[in-house]
Amino acid sequence: MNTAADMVDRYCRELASIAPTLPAAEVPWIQQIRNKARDDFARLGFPTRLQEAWHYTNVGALQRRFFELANSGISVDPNAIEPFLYPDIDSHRLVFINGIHAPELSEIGTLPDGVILENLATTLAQTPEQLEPFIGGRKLPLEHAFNALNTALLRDGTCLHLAPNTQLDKPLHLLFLSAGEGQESCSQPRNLILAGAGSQAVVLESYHSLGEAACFTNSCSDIILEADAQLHHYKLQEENRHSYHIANLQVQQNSGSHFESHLLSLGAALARHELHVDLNGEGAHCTLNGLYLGNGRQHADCHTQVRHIHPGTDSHQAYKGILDGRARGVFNGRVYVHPQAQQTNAEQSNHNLLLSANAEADTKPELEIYADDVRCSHGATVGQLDEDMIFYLRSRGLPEDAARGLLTLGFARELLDRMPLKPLSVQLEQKITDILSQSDGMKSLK
Amino acid sequence: MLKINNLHVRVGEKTILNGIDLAVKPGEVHAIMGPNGSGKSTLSHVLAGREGYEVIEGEVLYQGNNLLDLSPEARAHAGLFLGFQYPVEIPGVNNMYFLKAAINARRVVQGRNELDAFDFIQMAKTKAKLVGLDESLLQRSVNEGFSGGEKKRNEIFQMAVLEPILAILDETDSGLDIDALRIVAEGVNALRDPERSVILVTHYQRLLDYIVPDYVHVLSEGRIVRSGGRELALTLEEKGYGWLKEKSPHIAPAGPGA
Ligand SMILES: Nc1ncnc2c1ncn2[C@@H]1O[C@H](COP(=O)(O)OP(=O)(O)OP(=O)(O)O)[C@@H](O)[C@H]1O
Ligand SMILES: [Mg+2]
Repeated sequence: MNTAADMVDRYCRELASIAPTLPAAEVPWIQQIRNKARDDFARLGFPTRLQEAWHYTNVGALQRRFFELANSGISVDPNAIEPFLYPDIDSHRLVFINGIHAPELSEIGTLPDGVILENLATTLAQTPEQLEPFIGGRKLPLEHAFNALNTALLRDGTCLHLAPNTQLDKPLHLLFLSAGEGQESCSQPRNLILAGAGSQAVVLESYHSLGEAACFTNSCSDIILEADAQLHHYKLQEENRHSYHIANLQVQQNSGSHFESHLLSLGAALARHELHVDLNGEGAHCTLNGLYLGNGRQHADCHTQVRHIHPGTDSHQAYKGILDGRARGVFNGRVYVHPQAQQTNAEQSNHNLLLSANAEADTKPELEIYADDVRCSHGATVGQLDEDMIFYLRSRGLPEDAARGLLTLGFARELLDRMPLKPLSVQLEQKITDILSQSDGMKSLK
Repeated sequence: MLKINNLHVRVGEKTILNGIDLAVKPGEVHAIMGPNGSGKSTLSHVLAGREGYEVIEGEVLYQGNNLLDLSPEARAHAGLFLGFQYPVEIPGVNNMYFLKAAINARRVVQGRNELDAFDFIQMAKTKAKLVGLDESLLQRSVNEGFSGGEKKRNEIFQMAVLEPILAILDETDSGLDIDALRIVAEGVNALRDPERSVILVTHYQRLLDYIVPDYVHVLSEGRIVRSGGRELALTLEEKGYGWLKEKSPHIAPAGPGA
């Protein structure tokens, strides 16, 4: 009989046994951080629905099955990654198999002066001091089981460092592949991005499965934007329908910086995307857009927290869900405005389209506003396709399923249209079209 | 072409159409006038196949077939077109993309090959010019953020592209400036031929200066209370609907053709 505690214990024993083999194992402060995080994880255990932040999302399944932490011996044919690439986008590419860097599949072109881009294991082995801004004093909220678990491993991932006023010349594609081969594997990448003052970059994280084995991804990304830095962050999650995807993105923004996030969550049995942004300086602003699709029994959860710490900061959040079958979508958006953060402008919206009677959407705005000169707005809807629109399209000769498909795609397109990287949005739209055309009632969508 | 016999229609508990009789032959233009709330849009919607209306009595024959049995799209494929009084805004659906899908859906049903993108765009641009629709509107989402007049022009543009056999235009003239009205009228007149028919729902006799109808009907409280030639519209303009009630509250329609 497995209890939740047994499973936590098993992860901890496994972590302890591989600890000596991890990069920078001989660096005491790194090893201490791992050990402390392991203790945190042992103490916290997996979250339960009794915890407010996990009220709508049940990760019980993760307590019942073990996902192998050290499943690193898998070799992948270069052709196998073709479907996950974007031929129309000239990019730098780092590929990870089960969270571990695969140099033979990666391709980093010549980098501009002042840009350091390498996999995290390399940084850990060669210049661990680079990690100080991210994990010195241990950072992240570690009172968070999944963050703790990720930090307890701290093995591989991405390290991107942009010197002041540099610009990453091409988008960076971080391609995360989960592959089983008989074992259920766990992938725990850690991505660290430090954008110096006035620097700019475009980063795409994409998560996919090779094959149908269940996998558990527990990804953490830490992003620090110095003054006036600008980062466009795209994320595509399309892991197979047996997998579990937990991700935590932490962003610290200094004055005048801009962070723009575009999330598309399509896959996994359960996906939880956490996004925490702290606006720490005048003029810092963030734009957070997200679209989640669910069918069958899929569960997609977007959990955002924006903290307006400094006066004169802006945040714009727009999340949309398209839910079919018995799928469930969750949006929990917390906006915190510090007592000193006057002239805050915070907008949030969450609109959900239910395509079947059994689909469900939960939307929960949480506004905590302690300053008075503040403009905050939020709006949430859960509804079906508009019958007047369906009739309008049909009256022009579109069959009913085509009309429904067009309208559903139109609902999604609003967010796709906001992506500045057009070749990407075009391909993502095609993915969405493919998924919707498998839905009952939209077969003729092509 | 179209024959409506004793049509009674109910929405929920409310009966809105109380026995409509109307016959439209190929090539004819019929104007339907009548006070607000008399049932003009309801009739238009029922003809186009909108859900939510219950036909409690009567029938509608279109080209000899039972129109009410057909889905809205099948009616469109058979050449019926409704210009909406209130065209709906459809965010995220591109005007051109939608119209191309619509036209090709019909061509597929008719066993014709689909129009390719190039031919379609050429044709659409020509039609847009014809009805004075700004080309930039073609690439926007359907009606989204269009002005009232632009929405109406977009209806006429769609009509011009789809080349219907029976066009029902529900107050397409309201909200149009004088130039637009003339252009819309030209669009309709360009479509007129011995095989096509038009039903114009309007409140203003002015439109009928541009599109000269063969018949004018007055709808009141869900039935046609008066029919005549285009001079009826002039009389109505002058005397108002009250005049009808004074004169002959329930006059039998002077059935135009059959
Ligand atoms: N779905 C509905 N539920 C209840 N009543 C309705 C519904 N649709 C229409 N009606 C009523 O039916 C009557 C006829 O409406 P309709 O829109 O057909 O009038 P109309 O002649 O087009 O008016 P207008 O000249 O103002 O456009 C009105 O009293 C209207 O309120
Ligand atoms: Mg009306």
